[in-house]
Amino acid sequence: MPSRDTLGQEADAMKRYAITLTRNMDDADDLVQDCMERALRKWTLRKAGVPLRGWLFTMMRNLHVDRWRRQKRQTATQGDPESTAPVLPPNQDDHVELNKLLAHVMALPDDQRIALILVSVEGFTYGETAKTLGVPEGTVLSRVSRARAALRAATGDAAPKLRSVK
Amino acid sequence: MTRPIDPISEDDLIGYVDNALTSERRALVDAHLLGDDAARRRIDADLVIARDLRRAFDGLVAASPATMPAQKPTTRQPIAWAASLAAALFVGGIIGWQSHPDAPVAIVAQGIADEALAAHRTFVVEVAHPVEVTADDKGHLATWLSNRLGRSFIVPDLRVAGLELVGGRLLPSPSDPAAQLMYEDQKGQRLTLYLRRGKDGDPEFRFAQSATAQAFYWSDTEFGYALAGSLPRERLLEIAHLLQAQLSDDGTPI
Repeated sequence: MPSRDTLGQEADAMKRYAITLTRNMDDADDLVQDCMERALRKWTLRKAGVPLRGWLFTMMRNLHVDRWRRQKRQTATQGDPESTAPVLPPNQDDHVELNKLLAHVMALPDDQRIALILVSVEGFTYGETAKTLGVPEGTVLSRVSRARAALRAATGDAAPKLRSVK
Repeated sequence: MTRPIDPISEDDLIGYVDNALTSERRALVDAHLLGDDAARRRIDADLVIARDLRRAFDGLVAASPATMPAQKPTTRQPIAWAASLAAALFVGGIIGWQSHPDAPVAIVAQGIADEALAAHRTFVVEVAHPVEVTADDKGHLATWLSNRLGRSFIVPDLRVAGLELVGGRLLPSPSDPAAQLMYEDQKGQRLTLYLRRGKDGDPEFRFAQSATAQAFYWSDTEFGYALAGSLPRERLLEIAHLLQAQLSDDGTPI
């Protein structure tokens, strides 16, 4: 079935986005599975010309929001969030530095984190990000701007914010 | 120092990092950065952060790769899987049917099936006004029916089964308003989907027939549905599966 193969090529990107949304490795796994199942089910409904990744990401975010609402309603007791927080295993040289950065990113407000990851990690243009998130492009830029300012401050390379320079 | 007509803005410094500037604009920022150490350091820091974020996320995925859902129905979501196969392969009708060989099949039309068959009979023969809102206004149709039925839902797409949407209409029913969507194949053979609030039973497909048409009907947690037409029963069931797969979720457009 071609859709399965095509979808398989998006698996890594879907995982990255699921981690960005859930901030939890276990939840991210579940979300990717759910989204893939739904994508297969809705495959025939995809309009021609809609980029696959954007379509999947929009679907994933809808699923995530639905779930989050459901969990909130059930006041489900979450397990220890620390146990499945996104952390790199110590087989990478600079895993300590990268893990610090990950912790800072996960601490950003959702809107800022999601916009930043779409732009910086997935390489979405501002236009694609805006479409995926359903917000104006200017909003994407300001979210990325605030996210970067926060990360600069957190990682110690703070510089005065430049507003307008002659 | 260069004096650009347009002052360098925050958006320029963000766009510089993401390689989103035009070459002219990028050259202006480059020129500006020569004389502004703070901005230069800031850009460098942002570039390092962007690079490290990519490495960190790649590392996370490498350490815990995503897996595809199992090919066969799993214990996790067997029903969802039957549905996805139905939509993706369009043979699910038969699979799903065979997996419930003992399901009782009602031969007498009842409740929603009666209403659907009556509405079907009334409108499929219409030449001038088969529908109130045509497929050309599909967006409006979805909004209008969503508002009147009190539930957002998509207008199912049956092109994969060779059926084009004709349009839809609102109808009275014994309880809440009902909607009828009409589809047509290349030979002009018409099918209608009837839906309204109130569940008649369960998600299993049940069969009913009148003198001229047959129907499969089913229900989800809020709504009852009935698909009516004069097609062979197996073909009708295939289409019912396709519809159920598309309508089974919460109605969000994707």
